[in-house]
Amino acid sequence: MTLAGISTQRRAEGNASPLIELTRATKFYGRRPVLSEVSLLVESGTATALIGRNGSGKSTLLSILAGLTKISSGTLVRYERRLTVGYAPEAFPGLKLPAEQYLLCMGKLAGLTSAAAEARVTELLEVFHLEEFRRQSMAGFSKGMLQKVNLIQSLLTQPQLLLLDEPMSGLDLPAQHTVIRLLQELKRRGTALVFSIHEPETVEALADNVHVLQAGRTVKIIYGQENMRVAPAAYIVCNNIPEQCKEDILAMPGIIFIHNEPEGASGDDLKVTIEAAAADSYLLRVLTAGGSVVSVEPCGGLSTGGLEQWMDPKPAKGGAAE
Amino acid sequence: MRALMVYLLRSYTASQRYFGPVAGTIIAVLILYSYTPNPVMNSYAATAIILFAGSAWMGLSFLNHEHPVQRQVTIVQAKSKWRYNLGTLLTLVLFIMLLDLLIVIYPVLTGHFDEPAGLYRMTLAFAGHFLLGLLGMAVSLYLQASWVPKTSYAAGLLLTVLIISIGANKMSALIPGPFVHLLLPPAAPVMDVLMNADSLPLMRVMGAFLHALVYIMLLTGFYLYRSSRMDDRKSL
Repeated sequence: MTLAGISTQRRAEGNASPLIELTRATKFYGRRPVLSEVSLLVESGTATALIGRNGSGKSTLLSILAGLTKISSGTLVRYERRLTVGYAPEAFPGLKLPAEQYLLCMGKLAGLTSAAAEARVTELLEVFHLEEFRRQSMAGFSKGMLQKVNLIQSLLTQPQLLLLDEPMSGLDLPAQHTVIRLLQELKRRGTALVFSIHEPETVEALADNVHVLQAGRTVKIIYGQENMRVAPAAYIVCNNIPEQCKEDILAMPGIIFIHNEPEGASGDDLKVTIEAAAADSYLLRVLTAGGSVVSVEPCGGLSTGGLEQWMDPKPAKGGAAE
Repeated sequence: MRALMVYLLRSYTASQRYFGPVAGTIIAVLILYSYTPNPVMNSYAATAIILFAGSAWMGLSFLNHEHPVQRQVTIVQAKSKWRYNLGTLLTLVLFIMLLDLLIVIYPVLTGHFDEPAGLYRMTLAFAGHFLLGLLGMAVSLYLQASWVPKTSYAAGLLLTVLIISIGANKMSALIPGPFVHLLLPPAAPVMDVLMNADSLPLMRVMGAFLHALVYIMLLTGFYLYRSSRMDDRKSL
């Protein structure tokens, strides 16, 4: 499916509007190409994960979207004239300023009033358990603490586009969960997320689509959360289920996603994505309730083209994007 | 713009990189005034050249004080690279103005001159110092790490440009060509008119000031144009 096709489909599903579109973008540093003909459409309320080995061009792509790097060829279209962007780069430095002072400065620089900046900084410092270090110089901070400050500065406002370069780098597990929760909330409110990542679990929790980069080229684009699950899953379509049993069936454990029919669509098909381990019980329950099984398809999982194999993509033949 | 300037001032002072150029400038001025009394305009001409060198050094240390990754963050938060570059320039101008004011007022307040300076001469001195301070800053713009990555090259180039600028009158006499004196950074002409301000007509003084002003505007204008089109990378 083409980018335009996916875009049309998404807009039909919700209120996603395009923010930035990159078409056949190429970037050279000197004579060395770091990105080759990469196309990417970023829409509000969606999350795009960039995965690939180190040096595959993820950071350069984020830097281009942030407006920090110019493309050598191709086109970059910003659909919003005054697009607000949040950016958390990789390897945030240990500045000599105290964390609170630095974050207040960044908040005011981003356009917050003093009172709003203070309230937001206090809130985020508490969320990331940094309140006791707020007056300390960041020069003595650990890698994880610096990464928290980095993420906080990018989350001070609610940007239309949030760019994160390896956001989980150096974070402990509770902080990773906090970040995921905050990002899910931002996405729900309409912020577009684009992030480079090495953790499949984060991709699974956040991303709507995944761009796999290798040596500066997009070698695969995975659309839809059900296609990138790490755990094996099944996509099951059933029908003729009595209405009184539907609620019980949908409350069964293991169901990952219930695919709602678009409004006005006919038919009583019930479509779910379910963990492979729970699929048998689900099918049995459907059949005993008097329903019929229309189709069962495996999706995601390591054995069926899931995400993990693309974290370390093998050299592609021709490097064509899907 | 105010928020950006406040942040840059805090960041620069926290980095302590201001210490070298500011202390160097102040010490040089104090040494100059260690003998009393001093002729007014000759002393001002000398301190203006000290500020020229001090501002160039300070410009370089200010423009290089921010970590490249943090610079990326600041640019994104400031919403435009042009705005960021303008903010850095205005912050430097503020620093230079402060030093200018201190250097011009200090000998008057402490009675280091052999006669009263007077408002006219103090105004000329303030303008002359300010222009040479800006000229030093304008030169440093092109030697910052994103333009000249090797610090040793930048320092060497800066020293060379400073020497050439101060000795511009001799240089233009040695190098054939009608426009040499216009192309070299006009530190020497401003120093000359400050030194002889008592005897020169005001128009002549203004002419030298205007020459310096146009030179500064061209250098900073081209810098703003070019740097807004350059990539901001996390490593230089």
